[in-house]
Amino acid sequence: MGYVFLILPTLIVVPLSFNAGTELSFPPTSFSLAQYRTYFFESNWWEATVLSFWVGIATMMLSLVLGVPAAYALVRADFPGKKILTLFLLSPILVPVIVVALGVYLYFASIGIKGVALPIVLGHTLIAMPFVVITAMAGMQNVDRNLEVASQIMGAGRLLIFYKVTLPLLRPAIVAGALFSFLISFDEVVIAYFVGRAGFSTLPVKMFGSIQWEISPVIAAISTLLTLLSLGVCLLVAATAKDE
Amino acid sequence: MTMIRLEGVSKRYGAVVALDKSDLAVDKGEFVTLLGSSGSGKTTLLNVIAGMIAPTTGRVLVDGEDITSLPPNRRNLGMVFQNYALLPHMTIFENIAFPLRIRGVSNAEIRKRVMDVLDIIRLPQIAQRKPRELSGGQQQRVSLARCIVYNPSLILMDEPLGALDRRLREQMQVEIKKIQTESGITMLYVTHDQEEALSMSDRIVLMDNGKILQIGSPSDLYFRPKSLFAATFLGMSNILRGRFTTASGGGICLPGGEEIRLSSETPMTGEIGCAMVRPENVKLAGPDAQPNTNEVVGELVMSVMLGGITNHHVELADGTRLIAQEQTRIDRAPPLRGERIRLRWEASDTIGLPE
Repeated sequence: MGYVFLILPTLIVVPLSFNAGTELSFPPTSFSLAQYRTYFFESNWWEATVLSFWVGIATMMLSLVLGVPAAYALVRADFPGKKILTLFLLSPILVPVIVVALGVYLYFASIGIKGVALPIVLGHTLIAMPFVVITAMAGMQNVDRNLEVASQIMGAGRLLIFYKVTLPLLRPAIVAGALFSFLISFDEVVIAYFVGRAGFSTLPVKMFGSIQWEISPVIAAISTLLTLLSLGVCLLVAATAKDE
Repeated sequence: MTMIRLEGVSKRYGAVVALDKSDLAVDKGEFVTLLGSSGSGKTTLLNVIAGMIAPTTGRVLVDGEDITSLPPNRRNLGMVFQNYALLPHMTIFENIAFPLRIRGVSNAEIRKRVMDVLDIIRLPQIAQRKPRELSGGQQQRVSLARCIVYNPSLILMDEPLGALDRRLREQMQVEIKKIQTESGITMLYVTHDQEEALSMSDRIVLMDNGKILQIGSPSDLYFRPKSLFAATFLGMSNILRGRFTTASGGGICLPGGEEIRLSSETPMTGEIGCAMVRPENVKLAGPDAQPNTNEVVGELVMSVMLGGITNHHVELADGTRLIAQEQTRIDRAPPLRGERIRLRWEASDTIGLPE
């Protein structure tokens, strides 16, 4: 019951998004697809969406490239300080996002990383990679070490084993990590707001700005679409997990 | 021709000796079993050969070539694991083809060789299945096929039948032995199951506590054990403790005064030791004495009928328990519990062992 109570306010945007007119109003007085039309065709919302999409994809790629080998090493290798390194890699989850955002902002400003997307991608990777590391480490528990030993005795080198044996077996974990890291980036406001440049907002940042200044009813339509996207991703993760 | 030779190989972890200095030579086409309980060092020895563990001292030679410092993937060995270690995301065909693909064999050749080994393991119809669709016994045969297919110098088998039930295990022992003999593969087999070792091996390497205790054919180890451990580890044994005497032909004097004659002279005259005789060589005897035999008298504790054979447990005056094994006879009444029984066996079946 408590859960329903918490989730209902989120769902209220769905009926709102089908309301015509130029203001958010509840209960909706009419039914139309006007807000969706505005979002897709008649505004610069689409630009923000495209930016968010590419930032999300880049964050996902970077998180996978860094996170999967890290998880592999953390599970397979045995070296002093392994626990501390694990904690260190996962620490961005423990630190408040606002602190991460401020740190990233000051850091990038001082070393002069510029551009529209790069600072956002780097910032998002910081908070998305721990999730890739966690899912990949969990996935590694299902990769029997004997399979790698057997492959090695059969004549396979380490790289070949990683690509032909370990990676295919890690696929469900990697897919889950990829989708989550994309979603984390696509939804993220604080870091994108801090390090983003004026005039080039990601979708969540533009929504945040819009709430502050105009409260456009298009937001209801976008929120509905974002909810659908999250739901779709979660279902996809569940489906790949079941498949294996 | 020697296929694999170990020279003074040992492994220590700090102060712990996992494997004492060991020498072993396995001939081409031979089936050698490392037999021992857990912690005996047999798995350490196997892993040193496979290259998964670097030995502290010694050398490993395959076909005359020193491979001690080669990584596992360059030793051209095969290994079969207890849990099969088939790659779950590949079909059986792809699993068996995997070592060939690593070696850059052409597709046509791969197809031919994979189908050939599937015939050898008598599972030609399963090529397109996934490992999880097969039974344990089938998976283990595929695992063996995956080794045979690239013709390694030596196939290592690490308790390969440990996960199977008893009946299937016995079938697989026959199957593996048949494949090994027909293809002339050199095999080093690790097990803690003495029956498995006795039934399959050309030679057995008996290990305990990180040491090789004895190397010999199954009948060598069974009938001519060199230690009390070997005598009691393999099969059932009757042990009589006493003091070695100087009697001609070798003998041992029991605490009760009886003298037991041994099959050979013992160098340990005057020392405390044991005489060992297998239950199947001990007979329930009548009162008539016979030359060159050993005789003791005791009280029947119980007779256990195990189908074709019956074990008579007899307790001597000093508390030693002996087992006499006979074929079960329906036409003869078994002796009664508490009855005084005379046991007799040949001196030539009696082995003298150090304590």
